[in-house]
Amino acid sequence: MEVTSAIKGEKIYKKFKKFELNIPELKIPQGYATALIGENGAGKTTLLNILSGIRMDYKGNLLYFDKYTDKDREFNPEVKDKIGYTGPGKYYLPQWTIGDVEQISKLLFPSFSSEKFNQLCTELALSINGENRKKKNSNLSDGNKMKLMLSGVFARDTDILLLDEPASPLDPLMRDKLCQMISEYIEEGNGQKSVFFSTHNISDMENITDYAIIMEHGTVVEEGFVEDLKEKYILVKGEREDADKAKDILYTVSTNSYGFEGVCLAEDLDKLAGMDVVEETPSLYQISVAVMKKNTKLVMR
Amino acid sequence: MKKFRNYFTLFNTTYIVVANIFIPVGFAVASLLLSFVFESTPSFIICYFIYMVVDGMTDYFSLGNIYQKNNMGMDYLKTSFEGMVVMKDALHVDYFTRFIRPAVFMLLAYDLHFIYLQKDTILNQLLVPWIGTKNILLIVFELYLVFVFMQILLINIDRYISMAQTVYTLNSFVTLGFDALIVLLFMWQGSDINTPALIAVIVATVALLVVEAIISILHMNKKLQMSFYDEVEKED
Amino acid sequence: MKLLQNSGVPIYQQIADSFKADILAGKYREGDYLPSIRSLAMELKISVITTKKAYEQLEQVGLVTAVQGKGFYVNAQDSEMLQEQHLRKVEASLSEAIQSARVAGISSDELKDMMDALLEMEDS
Repeated sequence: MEVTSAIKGEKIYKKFKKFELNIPELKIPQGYATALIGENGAGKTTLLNILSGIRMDYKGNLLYFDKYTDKDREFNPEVKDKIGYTGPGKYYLPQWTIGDVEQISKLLFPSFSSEKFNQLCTELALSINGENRKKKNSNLSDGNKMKLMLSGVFARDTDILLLDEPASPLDPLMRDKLCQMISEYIEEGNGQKSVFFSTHNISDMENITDYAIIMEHGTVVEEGFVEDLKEKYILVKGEREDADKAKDILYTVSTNSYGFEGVCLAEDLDKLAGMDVVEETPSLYQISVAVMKKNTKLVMR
Repeated sequence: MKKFRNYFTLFNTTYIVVANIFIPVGFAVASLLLSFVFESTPSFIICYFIYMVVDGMTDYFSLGNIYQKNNMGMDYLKTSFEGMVVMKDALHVDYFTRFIRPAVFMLLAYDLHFIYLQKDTILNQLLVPWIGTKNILLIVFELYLVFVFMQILLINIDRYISMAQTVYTLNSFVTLGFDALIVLLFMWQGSDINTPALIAVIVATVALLVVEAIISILHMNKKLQMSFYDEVEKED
Repeated sequence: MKLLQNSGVPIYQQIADSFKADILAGKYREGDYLPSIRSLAMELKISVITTKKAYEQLEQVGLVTAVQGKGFYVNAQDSEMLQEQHLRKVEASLSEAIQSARVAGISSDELKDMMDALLEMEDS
């Protein structure tokens, strides 16, 4: 499929003492919602920090919207204003109130709209028609902190949103609302606006995920449009007696006393001929778990 | 003016009002009230000490350990183009307030105190030998300089340390201890200090303070720059 | 449009089928644009790529045409052709069945009875 990239990366490299981020090629499709999936410590936050400009001590080339380099991002105010970011917990200073956040955002981001911010705060029941505006960030619950960050970033006119774990602190209803907000954002952009978010809550975000990037040990192990991935991997279930034979063929497999269940690459499906198996289209969650299982250092039973 | 706008936006309004107006004026008034009770100069000294500790502690409520790498809130500034400039501006004004507010306290407290107080009470003569001498203004000025010097030193240290109010309080008391030593020195020397010597001390303190202020600001700029552009390797 | 999450039929197929039915029923006229992939995704609370795939399915069978930067419009002539294609497909299948019947020595009447029986089974 011919798609332009909102962010293109080449040879992104960052070394820590015990961890190495090494991504030879990164493409985030423009006009779609892309999920970044991976275990804890796989390098998701580091990657998002590099893309958003929070971390600058890395090697590699980045290209934004097909024309701006990472130098432009730092030295061209227009580019930086087009990139929205929300990070984990400690994003705003704890002593800032909701009102402060509005004032400071107005100072920092030219495209920030107070009107939209207040509307979002009301919509997310954070500060209904201006109440609670004196409430400090440190006194907000984790969910409300995230709501505040989301209000702040959605009140700007951006072309890409980089969201680090937006769903984790939110309740199920709010996750649904987040999906709706992302959906509206993408719809409003009409192919220009993209969202790149990392998540552990794959099933909650699956409805809006177009493209998935799965990371393990600092590198990308699988990526693709969700519909393509769903054709590449197939969920199979079979009887106990076939388990051993299937083990060699399947991508990942888990067995119990009654049978086996696993994920198979579509190209290997023919090799299962003769076995009594049922096939199913896997969900993104199942694909992700399978890919992560294949690459993890965790001991899975 | 832009610097002031950035300062007023970035720093919490409550903090600005409390730290810059409420606390200095409050302690000056407290000093006056203590003067009613004790009718002696040590009330001014006591308020000066307590004010110093409290002023040191207020920094915890401003930006806390802002120099520490990957400080909370730094991410937010980094995601904006203006972020670092705004932060620098605000911190420059913050340094400026560190000179102003002790001056406000000193002038107010000193004036209120001596308007009320008879300078030649016996207690004063006994406890503070230098009271009523011609050097009193110079000594108060020297105390002010020491105050500012220690306070700037304090923020340069505490802003690296992870947010913990106990650390701030502890450090306030350490600087207070040093300051108390100097005050005691004055009291011990009393009116024996001759004016040229005192002026020499003041000139030396001013020089030290200027050097400290320049180093602090350069250092702060460098620190922010490093934090902003990740010039230091940091383990994740 | 009713989308079933666990019916075994992929979501994009369900969407494609639904639009196909609508187009053949004349709910969309020639030249009408289908809702944009992103707004449809928003309305249906599904991912953009799913709706895109559904539309691409429709494009493959010739019901709609994609225009760069504008979306997908309905191709009325093509839908008539599609009907004809279906007709030809039925004819081809039937003549194949007749061929097989001739080989097996089944008479025309028997074949018609068989056809009626099968139709009855399908309808019931």
